[in-house]
Amino acid sequence: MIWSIAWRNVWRNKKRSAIILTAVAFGIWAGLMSNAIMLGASRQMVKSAIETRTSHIQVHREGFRDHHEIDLMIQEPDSVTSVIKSIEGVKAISVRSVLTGMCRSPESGTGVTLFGIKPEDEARVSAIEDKLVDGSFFKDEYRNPIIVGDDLAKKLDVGVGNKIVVNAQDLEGSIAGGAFRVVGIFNTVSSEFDKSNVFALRNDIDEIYELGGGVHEIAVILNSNDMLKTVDEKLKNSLSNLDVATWEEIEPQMSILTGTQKQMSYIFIGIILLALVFGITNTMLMGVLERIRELGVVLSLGMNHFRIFYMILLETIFLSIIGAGGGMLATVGTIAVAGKTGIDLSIVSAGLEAFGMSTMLYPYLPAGEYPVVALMVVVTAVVASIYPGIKAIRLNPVEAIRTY
Amino acid sequence: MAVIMSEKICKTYNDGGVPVKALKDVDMEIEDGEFTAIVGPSGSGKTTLLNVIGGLDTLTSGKLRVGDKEISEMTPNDLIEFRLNNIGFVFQAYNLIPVLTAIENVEFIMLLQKVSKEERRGRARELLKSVGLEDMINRKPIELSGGQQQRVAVARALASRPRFVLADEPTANLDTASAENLLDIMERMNDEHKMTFIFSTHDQRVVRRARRVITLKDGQVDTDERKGENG
Ligand SMILES: Nc1ncnc2c1ncn2[C@@H]1O[C@H](COP(=O)(O)OP(=O)(O)O)[C@@H](O)[C@H]1O
Ligand SMILES: [Mg+2]
Repeated sequence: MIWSIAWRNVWRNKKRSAIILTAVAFGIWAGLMSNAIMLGASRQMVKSAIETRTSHIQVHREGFRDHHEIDLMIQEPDSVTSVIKSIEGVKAISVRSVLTGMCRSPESGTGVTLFGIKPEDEARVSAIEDKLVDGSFFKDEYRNPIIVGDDLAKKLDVGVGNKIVVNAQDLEGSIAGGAFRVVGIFNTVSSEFDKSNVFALRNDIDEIYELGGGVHEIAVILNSNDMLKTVDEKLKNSLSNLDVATWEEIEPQMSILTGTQKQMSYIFIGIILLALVFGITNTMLMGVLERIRELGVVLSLGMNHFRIFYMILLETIFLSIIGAGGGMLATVGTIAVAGKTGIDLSIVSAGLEAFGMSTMLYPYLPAGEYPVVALMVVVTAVVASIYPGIKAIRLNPVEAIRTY
Repeated sequence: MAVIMSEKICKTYNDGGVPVKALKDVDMEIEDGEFTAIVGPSGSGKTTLLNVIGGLDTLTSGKLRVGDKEISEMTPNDLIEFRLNNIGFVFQAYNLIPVLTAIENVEFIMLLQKVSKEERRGRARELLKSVGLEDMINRKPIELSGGQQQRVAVARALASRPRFVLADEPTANLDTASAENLLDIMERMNDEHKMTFIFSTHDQRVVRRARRVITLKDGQVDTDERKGENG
């Protein structure tokens, strides 16, 4: 019955309760939504990093990642790839040769990383093919085809069908130059990437730069990111003489970002709740002060301090949880809609693209966040009820009944 | 047998630095099952006397035994428990919890006593019936007249099966018919349940109905008369 008294008390002053409920709901909604936007953005960043740059796991010769030295090739690549393919959870791999060099057009030149790939393998590992905005993914029969990013194409002032030259050191240390024909232009979310990476056929690269069939990089895509740890462990064990690196190791700044995000999101909600504590306390205090007589009567009848405090606590929890529940429902609704349609950030997109973010933002909140936030709300309610609760139990019943 | 016995009880309030002597050396004995009215002008100490008997207010000095408890020696927490199990209070007005229905108000006190749910319902229904409100058990206080509210309050006071029912000017806000009706009910309850009733009033209609009348004047007992069988 104390529960039902507390519940009914919440609705006694509908207007006042509505105000604080709205405030709590709005605060929770705003907090959760900004978390969802943050998490959604970082999830997209990770996804696009995996799809275009890092894959889930990359395998190199020890030291290759530092300076991309051409002679640090993977020895016996065939046996390495068969080891990788035998591990459960591996979905696809792409074996690449990697050179750094200068890319030139008649107009200008710039430094690039040149990947030698097999299109059918690469298509299953990276999303470059899906990101083509012009041309095709090595479908047309040209000599020495190459695919470049849109930012590079712009810089070199070339389009599909134009020729470019890529100069790079060969194994002997002398500069070799290859002429390529642009057959496709891609545009990923990262303009940094689009400016400095080009893809050509591995056989062509092998010939031009005389690599003797050597490769530098094996990119691995897994069935799901959840398997990252286990597959990584297995690979590190069985390929102990090679450098096996997960995307988190390849781009540590990205993993720091996603790793700290959860804590940050709770801190954010915590700050909002801290602000709400004052509002809730104030509402409850008003509720106590306007029923002093009633509290005096129940104290007289023999309702003990524990029960009175408990009643006030329940009222505060109801008030907070209803408000927070409303805010959570609103969040679920907003995410259900915005998670599909996306939020268009194109107004600020130029800035975001440089950070490897998409202009369309899909908010996302893991289901596990809701119960944690609900718990935080209950703790908030407990804190907010202390002062009004103490006020209530400190009442002198004689005074309360005499004067009210 | 005296169930309430006071010896030189004093209660002094501090009204902004000025001591106000609300009770001065009150000596009094109340017998088991008595139906007693405390009368006297406003400010004579009626409420204060009922409050100290009921363990709501503390004594400044003197000794007061209520039932088998020495009130003057109890801690505040003991007093809450004492009130719950020994005293039924009826105040002048606004006795009820506004968010609860009539029957829930009556049940509430039994809930505090941890009476089982079925027994609570049954006893509350019974009591409301005996105060003539069986048709209104599900009404909220605001949907009841002042007289009906006071009857619910009496039912609630009896629900905890206390030894003492203390009513402070229970009819003050009622019209004559309602006041008479409430008195009928209290009288009948006193007969049926053998509880000791003490009520304060300065309403002559009510005073007539009491079997014993204690008059207070300036915090002291002025007169104390029992009515005979033929009184
Ligand atoms: N809390 C208090 N503070 C100061 N004076 C009080 C207080 N309560 C009662 N009094 C005083 O004590 C006296 C007796 O009051 P009370 O018992 O309420 O009388 P009655 O119920 O007969 O009207 C009055 O003079 C009243 O002003
Ligand atoms: Mg009085």
